[in-house]
Amino acid sequence: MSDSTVLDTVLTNPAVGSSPTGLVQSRSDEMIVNLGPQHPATHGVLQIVLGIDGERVTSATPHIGFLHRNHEKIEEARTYEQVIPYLDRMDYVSGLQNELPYILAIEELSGIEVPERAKYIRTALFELNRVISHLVWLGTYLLDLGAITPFLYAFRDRELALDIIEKTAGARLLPNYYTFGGVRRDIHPLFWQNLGEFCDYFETVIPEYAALTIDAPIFQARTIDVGFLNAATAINHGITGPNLRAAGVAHDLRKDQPYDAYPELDFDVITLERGDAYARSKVRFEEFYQSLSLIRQCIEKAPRSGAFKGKGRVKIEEYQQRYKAVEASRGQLGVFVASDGGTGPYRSKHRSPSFTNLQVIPDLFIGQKFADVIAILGSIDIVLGEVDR
Amino acid sequence: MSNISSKNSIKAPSDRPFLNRALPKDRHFRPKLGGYNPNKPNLLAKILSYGALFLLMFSMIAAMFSTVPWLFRMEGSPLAVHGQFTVAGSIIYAITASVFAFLAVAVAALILILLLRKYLAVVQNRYGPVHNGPGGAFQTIADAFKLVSKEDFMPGDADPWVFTLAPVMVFVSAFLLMAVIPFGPDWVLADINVGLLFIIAAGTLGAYGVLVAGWSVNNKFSLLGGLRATAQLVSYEIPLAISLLSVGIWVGSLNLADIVEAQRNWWCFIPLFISAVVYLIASLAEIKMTPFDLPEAESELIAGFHTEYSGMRFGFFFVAEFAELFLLPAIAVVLFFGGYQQPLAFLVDFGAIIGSIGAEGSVLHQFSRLLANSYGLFWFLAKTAIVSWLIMWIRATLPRFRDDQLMELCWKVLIPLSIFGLFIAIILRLVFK
Amino acid sequence: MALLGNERRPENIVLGTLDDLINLARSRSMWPLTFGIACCAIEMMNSSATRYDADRFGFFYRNTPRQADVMIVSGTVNKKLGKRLRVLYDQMAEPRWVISMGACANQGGPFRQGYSVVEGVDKIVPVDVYVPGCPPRPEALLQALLLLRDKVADPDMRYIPGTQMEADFDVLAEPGKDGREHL
Repeated sequence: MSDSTVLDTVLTNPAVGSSPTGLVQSRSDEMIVNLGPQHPATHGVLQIVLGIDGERVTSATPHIGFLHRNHEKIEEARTYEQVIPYLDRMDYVSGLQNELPYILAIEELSGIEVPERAKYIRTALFELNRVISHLVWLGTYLLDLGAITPFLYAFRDRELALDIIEKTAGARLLPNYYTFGGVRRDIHPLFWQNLGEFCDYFETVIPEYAALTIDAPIFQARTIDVGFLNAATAINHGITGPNLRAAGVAHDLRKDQPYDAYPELDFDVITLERGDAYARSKVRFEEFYQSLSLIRQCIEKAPRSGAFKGKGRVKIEEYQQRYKAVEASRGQLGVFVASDGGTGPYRSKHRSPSFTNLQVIPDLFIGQKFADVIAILGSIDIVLGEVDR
Repeated sequence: MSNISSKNSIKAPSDRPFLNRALPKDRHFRPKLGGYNPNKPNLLAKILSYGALFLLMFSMIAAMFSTVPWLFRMEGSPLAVHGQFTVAGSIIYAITASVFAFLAVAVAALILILLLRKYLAVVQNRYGPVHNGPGGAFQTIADAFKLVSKEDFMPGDADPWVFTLAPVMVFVSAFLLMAVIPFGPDWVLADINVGLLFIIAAGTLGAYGVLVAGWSVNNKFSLLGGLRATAQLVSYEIPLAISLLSVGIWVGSLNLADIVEAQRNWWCFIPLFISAVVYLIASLAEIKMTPFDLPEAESELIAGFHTEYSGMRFGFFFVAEFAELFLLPAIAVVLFFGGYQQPLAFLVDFGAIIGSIGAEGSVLHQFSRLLANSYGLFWFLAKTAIVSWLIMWIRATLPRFRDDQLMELCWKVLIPLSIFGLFIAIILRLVFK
Repeated sequence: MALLGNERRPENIVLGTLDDLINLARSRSMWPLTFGIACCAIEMMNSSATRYDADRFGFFYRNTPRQADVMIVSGTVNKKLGKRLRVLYDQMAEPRWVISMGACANQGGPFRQGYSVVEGVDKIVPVDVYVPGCPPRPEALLQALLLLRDKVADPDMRYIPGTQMEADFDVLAEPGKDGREHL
């Protein structure tokens, strides 16, 4: 395609980029405000069309699809191994977490055994990715609310964690490190030591974050009693993750359907009853501590010698399919893999937590004050890469 | 890190048979490897660079005040007769003094832009601008040149007169405050008897400019942003004005030079502590600084009032905000923190000592007055720098208020507190004077 | 006269030093637009964070396209977003530049085969600097920003290594032949 053709198509074709419901109907006393795809607040390319009546929000419609990258269609044309790098790009904030459900599903279907050491390595990195994902949430949420400094502190600490991931896995952000049976390469000799140092350092730094966020009066004034999500609504919409746990439901896949090394590890499922934005923030904060404790347990219990990758090749018969889900930092991240006996998946569908968490936005926004919209949206913690896939 | 070109394609000049001219010296910037090393703070360089900026401000203001009136008032000048200006003289003096004052405040604003970026960088554990000029000092000059050379456009259905006028209004109202501030015992541009009222009036003009800016771009979101900004500014004028007036009541005069003179023994923030705190918070809202920066916060839904401005029109808003960042703390210093008086002036007042050397009317006396004024200016700039630093510190730390929380803070907290401070001022004046 | 930053000036105009000064000022204070799309946006945020501070060079992120100079397209552009991207580009005040960051913005990236992905953002906006990588390291983005800075300061790109053709001579032409007296 020549350049001008693409540009013309993009600019003139009415089917491209229009909303599926057509013209937005508005009541006469309602003003339509467009929280457009370009945000100064780093949510990603999400468009929310709000109807406002005075100070209250009367309708909210999220428009997604600005980052639709055809993950699932492309993966149908790849082999099982080649799919793994695409998975990183979904929830790009915590790259390694996305690879795990697909790998677990294929391992179960093919009968590949994962050695003990590999399980602990994968779990430690999984929790480290949870830490860095919550750090990004913290930084960008406070940037939305106006505080510029916690963003930089969060990214400074993220650099330290990314150093650990880079030394072991080879890349900072989207490492493509997990594979069927374990991990691709052996870990760096100082991996466990670096993790221990990071945990020690980070525990001294969390009270600073708390002083700037959870315990700060302005943050509390902006998030307490804002955006109530009760347990019934959450369960009806399929919300998972810290949003669900802040609404009072103690559901955590690491406890309910444990995988990897989680059966041997011990942690608390943080649940709060309030269900407002402050509760969601507090749950994520407490999950910092839980993740650090989990990483420490991995450091203690992991065998220091052994295989990092199990033997076994991927061999999946026709008509075999499996859905496997893990507890990613945003909720239940699941992959459904169906095979037709070939070299690659016939269908791989991704169930992403942000996509389902996003559905609750009309319920959360309607009736709230218009100025609270940003505070509520940030507290749900969505990443558009996995919403649009 | 490394060069974009591979080693194979660039040949040394001696290897090129046909290209006879040598390529000029490599001006490609190569960042130093190594990055930020927190163990090696170069304190001397920091002190020298900030000291250089301080010295720049000091010398501009000192030069303005020492030369311009002296030139105009010296014997034989056609513009002044026996120390009193003629009509033509006062007009020319006003124009010249305005130009100098504008330059001084503009330089102050540019320095503060740079200092804010550097200070934010210090708080955020990084370097600010370092590569443009020594220590990054020319960064703001580069910004200014760039803004001047941007494309000048106007949104299609904007009102052209008002679109052009709005930044000017905000700019002028910010710079007007300079006129009445006493920088030294004799150094004030306009020694009017109602200086406090002039400050309140000039500050209010800025609110009008913001409203007009939001309206002129024909964008309903900018209009709403402008309305909210105006509501904020106008509401916070009230505790500002009341706290200013409580100082006026305590001192007994609205003339700013008298107010500073009256703080020889005790600075006004000691008896009028509540008014000082209220003034500092209200001045945060006037400058539109976090936590009150809702008007310019585009991360809130409604676009700020200056979203549609670009180039130097935006530059006007930008410089006006930082000029206010210099001038409102200057007013706080004048009213509450002793102005140009040194601390503990009741013990030993070097300014008065220096200023009284020499007989009245002699050259030595003029020189000693110059020294005394410079001494006062030094203290004034130091205190203003400290108050500005406090405001920058608050900007770096706090998130912003929601707009109804902002209004609630103003009307339910600050106004009662400021009225309470006013009562305290009245009672204290009755008791002590 | 309008100074557009990314055009080659015709050879019969003599440039005074003011142009160089303005170009220098423009290059030293470029204000990027915060327009993060996908994974590369996280690396862009990293490159303006503590360790790889982009503010050292004067890059001061702005929220509105009216006040921004350079748009860093960081992430995959699909047709739905392409429309909005073009609108944003048109809203930027000239002189304006575009950095295409990452494989997806350069030529579609790993998602090039997709039905909704635009194969490269240069089909929608003119691009000045391409940064390869998936995602490019923050150092790579900083190098791209510095390269753009050099390009803005010197639009004919005389002094940037690797950007001028090595052979600005013609092997076949010798003085006197083909009517040519000089190179």
